[in-house]
Amino acid sequence: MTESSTSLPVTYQGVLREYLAHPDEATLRQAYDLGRAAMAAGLGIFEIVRLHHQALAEGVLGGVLAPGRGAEAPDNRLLESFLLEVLSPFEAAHRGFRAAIGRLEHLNAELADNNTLLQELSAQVLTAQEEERRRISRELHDELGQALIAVNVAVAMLKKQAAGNVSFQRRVGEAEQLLARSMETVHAFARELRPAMLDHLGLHSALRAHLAEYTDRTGIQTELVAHPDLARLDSRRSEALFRVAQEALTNVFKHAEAAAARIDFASDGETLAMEISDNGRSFSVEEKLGIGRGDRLGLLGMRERIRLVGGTFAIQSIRGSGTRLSVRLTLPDGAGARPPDAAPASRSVIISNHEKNICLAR
Amino acid sequence: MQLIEAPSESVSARILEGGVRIPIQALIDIVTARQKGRSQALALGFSIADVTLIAAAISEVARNILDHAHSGEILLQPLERAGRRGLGIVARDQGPGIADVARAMQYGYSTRRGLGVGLPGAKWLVDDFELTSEVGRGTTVTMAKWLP
Repeated sequence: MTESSTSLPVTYQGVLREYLAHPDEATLRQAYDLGRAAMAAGLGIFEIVRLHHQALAEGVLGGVLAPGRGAEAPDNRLLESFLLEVLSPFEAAHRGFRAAIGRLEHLNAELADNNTLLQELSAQVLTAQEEERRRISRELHDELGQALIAVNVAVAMLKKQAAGNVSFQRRVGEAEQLLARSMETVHAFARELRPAMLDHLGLHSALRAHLAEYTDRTGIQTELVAHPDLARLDSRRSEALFRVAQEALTNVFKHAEAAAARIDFASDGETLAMEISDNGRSFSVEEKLGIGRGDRLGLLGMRERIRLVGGTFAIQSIRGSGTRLSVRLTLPDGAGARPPDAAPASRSVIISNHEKNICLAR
Repeated sequence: MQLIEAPSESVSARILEGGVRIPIQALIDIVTARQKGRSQALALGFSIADVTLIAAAISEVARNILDHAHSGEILLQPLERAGRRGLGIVARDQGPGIADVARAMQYGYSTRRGLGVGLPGAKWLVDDFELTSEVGRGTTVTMAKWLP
């Protein structure tokens, strides 16, 4: 206990005695200053009330507050004025808090409104982005792809006509190779923008194809453990999961220096879980998810996608054992409940094979 | 004698009889201002609790004058507005003024003061509160408390 707080009962009794002897403005001001000092020292209302009662009990019993033994107890109205005076700084603080809380509630409501607005906006942005990707993908494939095929045919005919002219034929052959590489690039790009497979064959096929291509491109060995409940996903959920997987695998390639990555699906019939893990370098999740950081590994975008389909998103990065990203989604109701003869969980292991030819057909 | 004008944002308040002016130059003047404020508030019909809060508000604005401007004055003025009576309190000085009024009104702005004291404390004790200040010219606090 500090010196001032041990001496406070004495001070309180002294000021009260002074006031009862001379109940005027000067002594009331002393009472007010006492309350002010008590509050500044961190005392609460309970302590003041205790001090007051203590001073009364001791003072009255000891005859200090009511001079002349046998005289009646101090005037109640005076005691009330004194206590109110001591407590008035506390009253001011209390009113201030009440006003501040009102203001905070107002700000909170405003914040919640803004938050809703932002979420709606981000949903719109993601939807628009997906639309745009679909459109560009289609354009690439249908327009540019078809044009390149036509050029290819023309070049093949040129090559035929050039029979006999060896150097010309060689140059046409070079152009043909260049063309083949361009077609490959266009199709790979179109597929990455919007895998047609996702729309036509579902998430499982789209992921398997994506992993095959990924392994081929990066040399990172991948494994996919699917689940029959994947067939129950609607297009919004499939799309969200595919995009998250795509983004996560890109992160593994760019940042993790991992040799292997895997995607595991599990389901209890109501909730579908997707887990993407790698054996590479870890990172600080908090740092990457923080606001205003430069490179956030697209984690915010992934989290937002999953939030929009009502799922949860968790990420764990442990030094020495890589990163694990978990998504949980509620499966759509009833529709497409697992058929009785559903296939068991399938497993695909994809090992890098740079010699393998890439299938160009969409 | 008309000593003060009603706070700008309020519906025009009528000035009643009995305004007083108390110069604030020393601690003892705070006692005088409180005493005059208390008797005016009692005469207007304020409860003991409200009278105490008015005295507390006067204490804080008077102390503010002594702390920052060394001298100034407090005007007390019975008012009437929309059928309600009230007490107007104006504290003014020609001290250095307050450069950042918003900051001065924040809780805990000055480490010397705790919660519920100083100008922010006074603000919570009255119904109307207005602070105007000009650096180098001084500060005026205009407050009013109305009968329920």
